[in-house]
Amino acid sequence: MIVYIIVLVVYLGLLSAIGIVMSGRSRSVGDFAIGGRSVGPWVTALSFVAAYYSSVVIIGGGAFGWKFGLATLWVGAGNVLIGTTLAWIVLGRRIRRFTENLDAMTLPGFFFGRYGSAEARIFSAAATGLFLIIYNVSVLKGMANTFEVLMDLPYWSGVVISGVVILFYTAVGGYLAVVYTSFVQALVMIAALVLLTFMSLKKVGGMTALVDRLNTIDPGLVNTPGVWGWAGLISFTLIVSLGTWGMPQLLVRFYSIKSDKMLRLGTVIVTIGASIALLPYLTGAVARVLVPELSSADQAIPALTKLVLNDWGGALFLAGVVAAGMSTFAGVLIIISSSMVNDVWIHGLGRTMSPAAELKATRLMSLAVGVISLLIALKPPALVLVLTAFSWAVIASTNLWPLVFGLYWKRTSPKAAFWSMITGVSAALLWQAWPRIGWLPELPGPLAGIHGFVVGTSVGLVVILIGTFVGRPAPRDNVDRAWGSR
Amino acid sequence: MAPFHLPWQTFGAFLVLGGTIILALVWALVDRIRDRDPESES
Repeated sequence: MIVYIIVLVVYLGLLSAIGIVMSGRSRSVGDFAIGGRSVGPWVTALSFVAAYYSSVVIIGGGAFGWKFGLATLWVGAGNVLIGTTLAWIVLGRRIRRFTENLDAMTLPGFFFGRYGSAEARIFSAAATGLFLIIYNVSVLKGMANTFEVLMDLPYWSGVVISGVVILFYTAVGGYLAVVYTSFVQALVMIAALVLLTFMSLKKVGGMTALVDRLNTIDPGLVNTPGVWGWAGLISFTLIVSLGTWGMPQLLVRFYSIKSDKMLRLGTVIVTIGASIALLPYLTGAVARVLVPELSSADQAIPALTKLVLNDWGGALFLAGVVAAGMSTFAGVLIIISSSMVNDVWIHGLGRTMSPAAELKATRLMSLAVGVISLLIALKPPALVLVLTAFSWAVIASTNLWPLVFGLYWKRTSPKAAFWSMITGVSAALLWQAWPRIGWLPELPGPLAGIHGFVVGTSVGLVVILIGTFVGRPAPRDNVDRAWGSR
Repeated sequence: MAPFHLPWQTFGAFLVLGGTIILALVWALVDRIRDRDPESES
Protein backbone atom coordinates (compact mmCIF):
# COMPACT_ATOMS: atom_id res chain seq x y z
CA MET A 1 0.00 0.00 0.00
CA ILE A 2 2.80 2.40 0.91
CA VAL A 3 4.32 1.89 -2.55
CA TYR A 4 1.04 2.86 -4.21
CA ILE A 5 0.87 5.99 -2.07
CA ILE A 6 4.48 7.03 -2.85
CA VAL A 7 4.01 6.55 -6.62
CA LEU A 8 0.69 8.42 -6.66
CA VAL A 9 1.87 11.34 -4.52
CA VAL A 10 4.98 11.84 -6.70
CA TYR A 11 2.92 11.50 -9.87
CA LEU A 12 0.05 13.80 -8.86
CA GLY A 13 2.59 16.31 -7.47
CA LEU A 14 4.36 16.37 -10.84
CA LEU A 15 1.09 17.06 -12.66
CA SER A 16 0.22 19.90 -10.27
CA ALA A 17 3.71 21.37 -10.74
CA ILE A 18 3.21 21.39 -14.52
CA GLY A 19 -0.07 23.28 -13.95
CA ILE A 20 1.72 25.92 -11.87
CA VAL A 21 4.56 26.32 -14.40
CA MET A 22 2.10 26.69 -17.29
CA SER A 23 -0.09 29.21 -15.46
CA GLY A 24 2.41 31.95 -16.39
CA ARG A 25 1.98 31.15 -20.08
CA SER A 26 -1.83 31.46 -20.14
CA ARG A 27 -2.24 35.22 -20.56
CA SER A 28 -5.15 35.31 -23.02
CA VAL A 29 -8.19 33.23 -23.92
CA GLY A 30 -6.28 32.00 -27.00
CA ASP A 31 -3.52 30.74 -24.67
CA PHE A 32 -6.01 29.20 -22.25
CA ALA A 33 -8.14 27.48 -24.91
CA ILE A 34 -5.59 26.41 -27.56
CA GLY A 35 -2.17 27.24 -26.11
CA GLY A 36 -1.68 30.17 -28.48
CA ARG A 37 -1.10 27.66 -31.33
CA SER A 38 2.42 27.03 -30.03
CA VAL A 39 2.61 23.30 -29.27
CA GLY A 40 5.27 21.07 -30.89
CA PRO A 41 4.70 17.73 -32.68
CA TRP A 42 5.80 15.38 -29.87
CA VAL A 43 3.56 16.95 -27.25
CA THR A 44 0.65 17.30 -29.69
CA ALA A 45 0.91 13.67 -30.83
CA LEU A 46 1.31 12.02 -27.44
CA SER A 47 -1.29 14.25 -25.78
CA PHE A 48 -3.69 13.14 -28.54
CA VAL A 49 -3.04 9.52 -27.57
CA ALA A 50 -3.61 10.29 -23.88
CA ALA A 51 -6.86 12.17 -24.55
CA TYR A 52 -8.10 9.45 -26.92
CA TYR A 53 -7.58 6.49 -24.62
CA SER A 54 -9.37 7.09 -21.34
CA SER A 55 -9.46 4.82 -18.32
CA VAL A 56 -12.73 3.51 -19.81
CA VAL A 57 -10.78 2.23 -22.84
CA ILE A 58 -8.16 0.45 -20.72
CA ILE A 59 -10.56 -1.14 -18.23
CA GLY A 60 -13.42 -1.53 -20.75
CA GLY A 61 -11.08 -2.76 -23.52
CA GLY A 62 -9.77 -5.41 -21.15
CA ALA A 63 -13.33 -6.39 -20.34
CA PHE A 64 -14.11 -6.79 -24.05
CA GLY A 65 -10.96 -8.88 -24.56
CA TRP A 66 -11.98 -11.08 -21.62
CA LYS A 67 -15.53 -11.52 -22.91
CA PHE A 68 -15.02 -11.73 -26.67
CA GLY A 69 -11.38 -12.86 -27.07
CA LEU A 70 -8.82 -11.96 -29.71
CA ALA A 71 -11.29 -10.68 -32.36
CA THR A 72 -11.30 -7.50 -30.27
CA LEU A 73 -7.75 -6.80 -31.53
CA TRP A 74 -9.53 -5.41 -34.59
CA VAL A 75 -11.00 -2.66 -32.42
CA GLY A 76 -7.47 -1.60 -31.46
CA ALA A 77 -6.32 -1.79 -35.09
CA GLY A 78 -9.32 0.38 -36.09
CA ASN A 79 -8.40 2.90 -33.39
CA VAL A 80 -4.92 3.26 -34.88
CA LEU A 81 -5.84 3.29 -38.60
CA ILE A 82 -9.15 5.20 -38.66
CA GLY A 83 -9.23 6.95 -35.30
CA THR A 84 -5.65 8.17 -35.37
CA THR A 85 -3.57 8.01 -38.58
CA LEU A 86 -6.34 8.74 -41.11
CA ALA A 87 -7.77 11.42 -38.80
CA TRP A 88 -4.39 13.17 -38.78
CA ILE A 89 -3.90 12.81 -42.54
CA VAL A 90 -7.43 13.74 -43.62
CA LEU A 91 -8.36 16.35 -41.02
CA GLY A 92 -5.16 17.68 -39.45
CA ARG A 93 -3.80 20.13 -42.01
CA ARG A 94 -7.14 21.53 -43.09
CA ILE A 95 -8.34 22.04 -39.53
CA ARG A 96 -5.07 23.81 -38.65
CA ARG A 97 -5.30 26.14 -41.66
CA PHE A 98 -9.04 26.78 -41.59
CA THR A 99 -9.24 27.53 -37.87
CA GLU A 100 -6.35 29.98 -38.21
CA ASN A 101 -7.92 31.63 -41.27
CA LEU A 102 -11.26 31.89 -39.47
CA ASP A 103 -9.70 32.79 -36.11
CA ALA A 104 -11.71 29.97 -34.49
CA MET A 105 -10.72 28.46 -31.14
CA THR A 106 -13.56 25.96 -30.80
CA LEU A 107 -15.39 23.53 -33.08
CA PRO A 108 -18.68 25.47 -32.82
CA GLY A 109 -16.64 28.59 -33.62
CA PHE A 110 -15.36 26.83 -36.75
CA PHE A 111 -18.94 25.99 -37.80
CA PHE A 112 -19.93 29.64 -37.41
CA GLY A 113 -16.94 30.92 -39.36
CA ARG A 114 -17.20 28.32 -42.11
CA TYR A 115 -20.98 28.31 -42.59
CA GLY A 116 -22.04 31.66 -41.12
CA SER A 117 -24.62 29.66 -39.15
CA ALA A 118 -25.33 30.83 -35.61
CA GLU A 119 -27.77 27.98 -34.99
CA ALA A 120 -25.16 25.34 -35.94
CA ARG A 121 -22.75 27.00 -33.50
CA ILE A 122 -25.24 27.02 -30.62
CA PHE A 123 -26.54 23.51 -31.24
CA SER A 124 -23.07 22.02 -31.54
CA ALA A 125 -21.87 23.82 -28.38
CA ALA A 126 -24.95 22.78 -26.37
CA ALA A 127 -25.13 19.12 -27.48
CA THR A 128 -21.39 18.62 -27.26
CA GLY A 129 -21.13 20.39 -23.88
CA LEU A 130 -23.96 18.42 -22.29
CA PHE A 131 -22.80 15.02 -23.51
CA LEU A 132 -19.13 15.74 -22.78
CA ILE A 133 -20.10 16.34 -19.13
CA ILE A 134 -21.84 12.96 -19.17
CA TYR A 135 -18.77 11.41 -20.81
CA ASN A 136 -16.62 12.99 -18.10
CA VAL A 137 -18.74 11.35 -15.41
CA SER A 138 -18.01 7.94 -16.94
CA VAL A 139 -14.28 8.75 -17.09
CA LEU A 140 -14.22 9.79 -13.41
CA LYS A 141 -16.18 6.69 -12.50
CA GLY A 142 -13.65 4.48 -14.33
CA MET A 143 -10.75 6.07 -12.42
CA ALA A 144 -12.52 5.77 -9.06
CA ASN A 145 -13.32 2.09 -9.71
CA THR A 146 -9.63 1.43 -10.33
CA PHE A 147 -8.67 3.13 -7.04
CA GLU A 148 -11.33 1.00 -5.36
CA VAL A 149 -10.01 -2.32 -6.69
CA LEU A 150 -6.25 -1.71 -6.60
CA MET A 151 -5.96 0.36 -3.41
CA ASP A 152 -9.06 -0.73 -1.51
CA LEU A 153 -10.10 2.92 -1.25
CA PRO A 154 -13.76 3.90 -1.04
CA TYR A 155 -15.27 4.95 -4.38
CA TRP A 156 -15.84 8.57 -3.34
CA SER A 157 -12.19 9.12 -2.40
CA GLY A 158 -11.06 7.99 -5.87
CA VAL A 159 -13.44 10.54 -7.44
CA VAL A 160 -12.26 13.33 -5.13
CA ILE A 161 -8.49 12.65 -5.38
CA SER A 162 -8.42 12.50 -9.18
CA GLY A 163 -11.07 15.22 -9.65
CA VAL A 164 -9.40 17.82 -7.42
CA VAL A 165 -5.93 17.43 -8.99
CA ILE A 166 -7.35 17.74 -12.53
CA LEU A 167 -9.42 20.80 -11.59
CA PHE A 168 -6.36 22.44 -10.08
CA TYR A 169 -3.99 22.10 -13.01
CA THR A 170 -6.65 22.75 -15.66
CA ALA A 171 -8.06 25.94 -14.11
CA VAL A 172 -4.59 27.26 -13.25
CA GLY A 173 -2.59 26.26 -16.32
CA GLY A 174 -5.22 26.05 -19.07
CA TYR A 175 -4.66 24.19 -22.34
CA LEU A 176 -0.86 24.18 -22.09
CA ALA A 177 -1.05 22.48 -18.69
CA VAL A 178 -3.49 19.98 -20.17
CA VAL A 179 -1.28 19.06 -23.15
CA TYR A 180 1.98 18.94 -21.19
CA THR A 181 0.43 16.83 -18.41
CA SER A 182 -1.14 14.66 -21.12
CA PHE A 183 2.30 14.20 -22.67
CA VAL A 184 3.61 12.87 -19.33
CA GLN A 185 0.44 10.82 -18.88
CA ALA A 186 0.84 9.22 -22.32
CA LEU A 187 4.35 8.08 -21.39
CA VAL A 188 3.06 6.62 -18.11
CA MET A 189 0.18 4.87 -19.92
CA ILE A 190 2.48 3.40 -22.56
CA ALA A 191 4.94 2.15 -19.91
CA ALA A 192 2.13 0.69 -17.79
CA LEU A 193 0.40 -1.12 -20.67
CA VAL A 194 3.64 -2.47 -22.13
CA LEU A 195 4.69 -3.75 -18.69
CA LEU A 196 1.34 -5.41 -18.02
CA THR A 197 1.27 -7.02 -21.49
CA PHE A 198 4.85 -8.31 -21.22
CA MET A 199 4.37 -9.75 -17.72
CA SER A 200 0.99 -11.31 -18.44
CA LEU A 201 2.17 -12.93 -21.71
CA LYS A 202 5.18 -14.27 -19.82
CA LYS A 203 2.90 -15.71 -17.16
CA VAL A 204 0.62 -17.41 -19.69
CA GLY A 205 3.58 -18.95 -21.57
CA GLY A 206 3.77 -16.67 -24.61
CA MET A 207 1.49 -15.69 -27.47
CA THR A 208 1.18 -19.17 -29.01
CA ALA A 209 0.33 -20.72 -25.63
CA LEU A 210 -2.30 -17.99 -25.11
CA VAL A 211 -3.96 -18.81 -28.45
CA ASP A 212 -3.89 -22.57 -27.75
CA ARG A 213 -5.37 -22.15 -24.27
CA LEU A 214 -8.10 -19.80 -25.50
CA ASN A 215 -8.91 -22.35 -28.22
CA THR A 216 -9.50 -25.03 -25.60
CA ILE A 217 -11.89 -22.72 -23.67
CA ASP A 218 -13.82 -21.71 -26.80
CA PRO A 219 -12.57 -21.41 -30.43
CA GLY A 220 -14.85 -18.37 -30.69
CA LEU A 221 -12.34 -16.54 -28.47
CA VAL A 222 -9.66 -16.90 -31.17
CA ASN A 223 -11.64 -16.53 -34.41
CA THR A 224 -12.93 -13.33 -36.00
CA PRO A 225 -15.69 -12.23 -35.48
CA GLY A 226 -15.84 -15.10 -32.99
CA VAL A 227 -18.33 -14.96 -30.15
CA TRP A 228 -19.03 -11.24 -30.71
CA GLY A 229 -20.47 -11.46 -34.25
CA TRP A 230 -19.97 -9.00 -37.14
CA ALA A 231 -22.66 -6.46 -36.15
CA GLY A 232 -21.23 -5.89 -32.69
CA LEU A 233 -17.58 -5.93 -33.77
CA ILE A 234 -17.99 -3.55 -36.74
CA SER A 235 -20.37 -1.18 -34.91
CA PHE A 236 -18.12 -0.90 -31.90
CA THR A 237 -14.94 -0.49 -33.99
CA LEU A 238 -16.60 2.29 -36.00
CA ILE A 239 -17.89 4.20 -33.00
CA VAL A 240 -14.60 4.20 -31.13
CA SER A 241 -12.57 4.86 -34.31
CA LEU A 242 -14.55 7.05 -36.72
CA GLY A 243 -16.22 8.67 -33.70
CA THR A 244 -12.96 10.48 -32.89
CA TRP A 245 -13.36 12.54 -36.08
CA GLY A 246 -16.15 14.43 -34.35
CA MET A 247 -14.67 14.65 -30.84
CA PRO A 248 -13.64 18.25 -30.09
CA GLN A 249 -11.20 17.36 -27.28
CA LEU A 250 -9.14 15.46 -29.87
CA LEU A 251 -9.61 17.82 -32.82
CA VAL A 252 -8.35 20.75 -30.73
CA ARG A 253 -4.83 19.24 -30.98
CA PHE A 254 -4.87 20.23 -34.67
CA TYR A 255 -5.75 23.86 -33.85
CA SER A 256 -2.94 24.17 -31.36
CA ILE A 257 0.03 22.64 -33.21
CA LYS A 258 2.68 25.25 -34.03
CA SER A 259 2.55 24.79 -37.82
CA ASP A 260 0.92 22.43 -40.27
CA LYS A 261 4.36 21.17 -41.36
CA MET A 262 4.75 19.67 -37.89
CA LEU A 263 1.79 17.40 -38.62
CA ARG A 264 4.17 15.19 -40.65
CA LEU A 265 6.36 14.16 -37.74
CA GLY A 266 3.28 14.26 -35.51
CA THR A 267 1.49 11.70 -37.69
CA VAL A 268 4.35 9.22 -37.39
CA ILE A 269 4.68 9.71 -33.61
CA VAL A 270 0.94 9.50 -32.99
CA THR A 271 0.63 6.32 -35.05
CA ILE A 272 3.36 4.56 -33.10
CA GLY A 273 2.04 5.86 -29.75
CA ALA A 274 -1.54 4.91 -30.57
CA SER A 275 -0.45 1.32 -31.27
CA ILE A 276 -0.90 0.64 -27.55
CA ALA A 277 -4.62 0.47 -28.38
CA LEU A 278 -4.28 -3.26 -29.02
CA LEU A 279 -2.80 -3.98 -25.61
CA PRO A 280 -5.90 -3.72 -23.35
CA TYR A 281 -7.74 -6.16 -25.64
CA LEU A 282 -4.79 -8.55 -25.72
CA THR A 283 -4.31 -8.46 -21.94
CA GLY A 284 -8.06 -8.90 -21.49
CA ALA A 285 -7.79 -12.14 -23.49
CA VAL A 286 -4.85 -13.22 -21.31
CA ALA A 287 -7.02 -12.53 -18.26
CA ARG A 288 -9.63 -14.93 -19.66
CA VAL A 289 -7.04 -17.70 -19.31
CA LEU A 290 -5.42 -16.63 -16.05
CA VAL A 291 -8.45 -15.32 -14.14
CA PRO A 292 -11.44 -17.08 -15.73
CA GLU A 293 -13.75 -16.76 -12.72
CA LEU A 294 -14.82 -13.13 -12.38
CA SER A 295 -18.14 -11.70 -11.23
CA SER A 296 -17.80 -8.90 -13.80
CA ALA A 297 -15.67 -8.58 -16.95
CA ASP A 298 -14.68 -5.07 -15.78
CA GLN A 299 -12.53 -6.72 -13.12
CA ALA A 300 -10.36 -8.47 -15.74
CA ILE A 301 -7.56 -5.90 -15.94
CA PRO A 302 -7.41 -5.02 -12.21
CA ALA A 303 -7.44 -8.74 -11.30
CA LEU A 304 -4.72 -9.51 -13.85
CA THR A 305 -2.65 -6.61 -12.53
CA LYS A 306 -2.81 -8.02 -9.01
CA LEU A 307 -1.84 -11.46 -10.29
CA VAL A 308 1.15 -10.65 -12.52
CA LEU A 309 2.65 -7.40 -11.19
CA ASN A 310 4.38 -6.66 -7.90
CA ASP A 311 3.52 -3.57 -5.84
CA TRP A 312 5.71 -1.22 -7.89
CA GLY A 313 4.30 -2.57 -11.16
CA GLY A 314 0.76 -2.36 -9.79
CA ALA A 315 1.35 1.22 -8.65
CA LEU A 316 2.69 2.12 -12.12
CA PHE A 317 -0.36 0.53 -13.70
CA LEU A 318 -2.71 2.43 -11.40
CA ALA A 319 -0.87 5.62 -12.33
CA GLY A 320 -1.32 4.64 -16.01
CA VAL A 321 -5.08 4.16 -15.66
CA VAL A 322 -5.42 7.37 -13.67
CA ALA A 323 -3.29 9.12 -16.32
CA ALA A 324 -5.62 7.89 -19.05
CA GLY A 325 -8.67 9.19 -17.21
CA MET A 326 -7.16 12.49 -16.12
CA SER A 327 -5.88 13.48 -19.55
CA THR A 328 -9.28 12.80 -21.11
CA PHE A 329 -11.16 14.60 -18.35
CA ALA A 330 -8.88 17.65 -18.46
CA GLY A 331 -9.05 17.86 -22.27
CA VAL A 332 -12.83 17.78 -22.10
CA LEU A 333 -12.95 20.47 -19.39
CA ILE A 334 -11.02 22.94 -21.54
CA ILE A 335 -13.29 22.28 -24.51
CA ILE A 336 -16.53 22.73 -22.59
CA SER A 337 -15.43 25.86 -20.75
CA SER A 338 -14.10 27.71 -23.80
CA SER A 339 -17.13 26.64 -25.82
CA MET A 340 -19.66 27.70 -23.17
CA VAL A 341 -18.08 31.12 -22.64
CA ASN A 342 -17.10 31.94 -26.21
CA ASP A 343 -19.81 30.25 -28.26
CA VAL A 344 -22.83 30.28 -25.97
CA TRP A 345 -22.36 33.26 -23.64
CA ILE A 346 -20.56 35.80 -25.86
CA HIS A 347 -21.68 34.92 -29.39
CA GLY A 348 -24.91 33.05 -28.69
CA LEU A 349 -26.37 35.38 -26.08
CA GLY A 350 -24.61 38.46 -27.44
CA ARG A 351 -22.83 39.47 -24.20
CA THR A 352 -19.71 41.60 -24.50
CA MET A 353 -16.62 40.91 -22.43
CA SER A 354 -13.12 42.30 -22.26
CA PRO A 355 -10.35 39.78 -23.11
CA ALA A 356 -9.29 39.70 -19.43
CA ALA A 357 -12.86 39.06 -18.27
CA GLU A 358 -13.26 36.32 -20.88
CA LEU A 359 -10.09 34.60 -19.65
CA LYS A 360 -11.32 34.80 -16.05
CA ALA A 361 -14.78 33.53 -17.04
CA THR A 362 -13.27 30.60 -18.97
CA ARG A 363 -11.13 29.63 -15.96
CA LEU A 364 -14.17 29.82 -13.66
CA MET A 365 -16.29 27.88 -16.14
CA SER A 366 -13.70 25.06 -16.25
CA LEU A 367 -13.87 24.91 -12.44
CA ALA A 368 -17.68 24.96 -12.42
CA VAL A 369 -18.01 22.24 -15.08
CA GLY A 370 -15.41 20.14 -13.28
CA VAL A 371 -17.18 20.45 -9.93
CA ILE A 372 -20.54 19.57 -11.53
CA SER A 373 -19.01 16.45 -13.17
CA LEU A 374 -17.37 15.51 -9.88
CA LEU A 375 -20.59 15.86 -7.90
CA ILE A 376 -22.55 13.82 -10.44
CA ALA A 377 -19.81 11.15 -10.46
CA LEU A 378 -19.99 10.80 -6.67
CA LYS A 379 -23.41 9.27 -7.03
CA PRO A 380 -24.37 9.04 -10.69
CA PRO A 381 -28.14 8.91 -11.29
CA ALA A 382 -29.33 5.89 -13.29
CA LEU A 383 -30.20 8.11 -16.28
CA VAL A 384 -26.65 9.47 -16.45
CA LEU A 385 -25.24 5.95 -16.45
CA VAL A 386 -27.53 5.04 -19.33
CA LEU A 387 -26.59 8.21 -21.22
CA THR A 388 -22.84 7.59 -20.89
CA ALA A 389 -23.23 4.79 -23.42
CA PHE A 390 -24.73 7.36 -25.84
CA SER A 391 -22.27 10.20 -25.33
CA TRP A 392 -19.79 9.34 -28.08
CA ALA A 393 -22.63 8.55 -30.50
CA VAL A 394 -24.32 11.90 -29.85
CA ILE A 395 -21.17 14.03 -30.01
CA ALA A 396 -19.89 12.33 -33.15
CA SER A 397 -23.32 12.45 -34.82
CA THR A 398 -23.42 16.19 -34.14
CA ASN A 399 -20.03 17.18 -35.46
CA LEU A 400 -18.68 14.54 -37.85
CA TRP A 401 -20.26 15.39 -41.21
CA PRO A 402 -20.55 19.18 -40.82
CA LEU A 403 -16.81 19.14 -40.07
CA VAL A 404 -15.67 16.80 -42.86
CA PHE A 405 -17.91 18.37 -45.51
CA GLY A 406 -17.02 21.84 -44.27
CA LEU A 407 -13.33 21.10 -44.82
CA TYR A 408 -13.61 19.46 -48.23
CA TRP A 409 -16.73 20.67 -50.08
CA LYS A 410 -17.12 24.40 -50.61
CA ARG A 411 -20.71 24.04 -51.69
CA THR A 412 -21.90 22.45 -48.41
CA SER A 413 -25.07 24.20 -47.32
CA PRO A 414 -25.26 25.76 -43.81
CA LYS A 415 -28.85 24.58 -43.42
CA ALA A 416 -27.85 21.05 -44.49
CA ALA A 417 -25.03 21.08 -41.91
CA PHE A 418 -27.41 22.22 -39.17
CA TRP A 419 -30.12 19.68 -40.03
CA SER A 420 -27.50 16.95 -40.33
CA MET A 421 -26.65 17.68 -36.69
CA ILE A 422 -30.27 17.66 -35.51
CA THR A 423 -31.34 14.55 -37.41
CA GLY A 424 -28.10 12.68 -36.65
CA VAL A 425 -28.41 13.24 -32.91
CA SER A 426 -32.15 12.47 -32.89
CA ALA A 427 -31.64 9.24 -34.85
CA ALA A 428 -28.76 8.11 -32.59
CA LEU A 429 -30.75 8.82 -29.41
CA LEU A 430 -33.96 7.25 -30.71
CA TRP A 431 -32.10 4.12 -31.85
CA GLN A 432 -30.37 3.71 -28.51
CA ALA A 433 -33.60 4.34 -26.58
CA TRP A 434 -35.68 2.04 -28.81
CA PRO A 435 -35.38 -1.16 -26.70
CA ARG A 436 -36.38 0.85 -23.60
CA ILE A 437 -39.58 2.25 -25.14
CA GLY A 438 -42.26 -0.32 -24.38
CA TRP A 439 -44.77 0.52 -27.13
CA LEU A 440 -42.27 0.25 -30.01
CA PRO A 441 -41.98 -3.13 -31.77
CA GLU A 442 -38.87 -5.17 -30.99
CA LEU A 443 -35.98 -4.76 -33.45
CA PRO A 444 -35.07 -7.91 -35.39
CA GLY A 445 -31.84 -9.65 -34.23
CA PRO A 446 -29.23 -8.33 -36.73
CA LEU A 447 -30.57 -4.75 -36.47
CA ALA A 448 -30.59 -4.79 -32.67
CA GLY A 449 -26.80 -5.29 -32.64
CA ILE A 450 -26.17 -2.04 -34.55
CA HIS A 451 -25.07 0.89 -32.39
CA GLY A 452 -26.89 4.24 -32.48
CA PHE A 453 -23.67 5.84 -33.75
CA VAL A 454 -23.95 3.98 -37.06
CA VAL A 455 -27.61 4.97 -37.43
CA GLY A 456 -27.02 8.59 -36.35
CA THR A 457 -24.07 9.19 -38.65
CA SER A 458 -25.78 7.41 -41.58
CA VAL A 459 -28.86 9.64 -41.24
CA GLY A 460 -26.65 12.71 -40.81
CA LEU A 461 -24.72 11.81 -43.98
CA VAL A 462 -27.86 11.42 -46.09
CA VAL A 463 -29.29 14.70 -44.79
CA ILE A 464 -26.14 16.74 -45.42
CA LEU A 465 -25.80 15.32 -48.96
CA ILE A 466 -29.42 15.88 -49.99
CA GLY A 467 -29.60 19.21 -48.16
CA THR A 468 -26.51 20.48 -49.96
CA PHE A 469 -27.87 19.54 -53.39
CA VAL A 470 -31.17 21.32 -52.79
CA GLY A 471 -30.03 24.10 -50.44
CA ARG A 472 -27.93 27.24 -50.75
CA PRO A 473 -24.17 27.15 -50.16
CA ALA A 474 -22.56 29.19 -47.39
CA PRO A 475 -21.97 32.91 -48.06
CA ARG A 476 -19.05 33.42 -50.44
CA ASP A 477 -17.23 35.52 -47.87
CA ASN A 478 -17.19 32.72 -45.27
CA VAL A 479 -15.95 30.15 -47.80
CA ASP A 480 -13.20 32.44 -49.09
CA ARG A 481 -12.02 33.22 -45.57
CA ALA A 482 -11.95 29.53 -44.62
CA TRP A 483 -9.91 28.59 -47.71
CA GLY A 484 -7.65 31.58 -47.16
CA SER A 485 -8.38 33.04 -50.59
CA ARG A 486 -9.03 36.52 -49.19
CA MET B 1 -2.55 -20.90 -40.13
CA ALA B 2 -0.91 -17.56 -39.33
CA PRO B 3 1.89 -17.02 -36.77
CA PHE B 4 1.10 -17.92 -33.12
CA HIS B 5 -1.49 -20.49 -34.32
CA LEU B 6 -3.87 -17.59 -35.01
CA PRO B 7 -6.38 -17.73 -37.87
CA TRP B 8 -5.46 -15.22 -40.61
CA GLN B 9 -8.71 -13.33 -40.01
CA THR B 10 -7.57 -12.50 -36.47
CA PHE B 11 -3.87 -12.08 -37.27
CA GLY B 12 -4.99 -9.53 -39.86
CA ALA B 13 -5.36 -7.00 -37.03
CA PHE B 14 -1.56 -7.05 -36.56
CA LEU B 15 -1.04 -6.74 -40.32
CA VAL B 16 -3.34 -3.70 -40.41
CA LEU B 17 -1.35 -2.18 -37.55
CA GLY B 18 1.93 -2.71 -39.40
CA GLY B 19 0.40 -1.34 -42.61
CA THR B 20 -0.81 1.74 -40.74
CA ILE B 21 2.68 2.53 -39.44
CA ILE B 22 4.04 2.19 -43.00
CA LEU B 23 1.22 4.43 -44.29
CA ALA B 24 2.14 7.15 -41.77
CA LEU B 25 5.82 6.99 -42.74
CA VAL B 26 5.12 7.05 -46.48
CA TRP B 27 2.62 9.91 -46.14
CA ALA B 28 5.10 11.96 -44.12
CA LEU B 29 7.81 11.34 -46.72
CA VAL B 30 5.60 12.16 -49.71
CA ASP B 31 4.29 15.27 -47.97
CA ARG B 32 7.82 16.44 -47.29
CA ILE B 33 8.88 15.93 -50.90
CA ARG B 34 5.74 17.73 -52.11
CA ASP B 35 6.49 20.64 -49.82
CA ARG B 36 10.02 20.99 -51.18
CA ASP B 37 8.87 20.90 -54.79
CA PRO B 38 7.68 24.46 -55.62
CA GLU B 39 5.66 23.24 -58.64
CA SER B 40 3.41 21.22 -56.37
CA GLU B 41 2.16 24.49 -54.87
CA SER B 42 0.38 25.46 -58.07
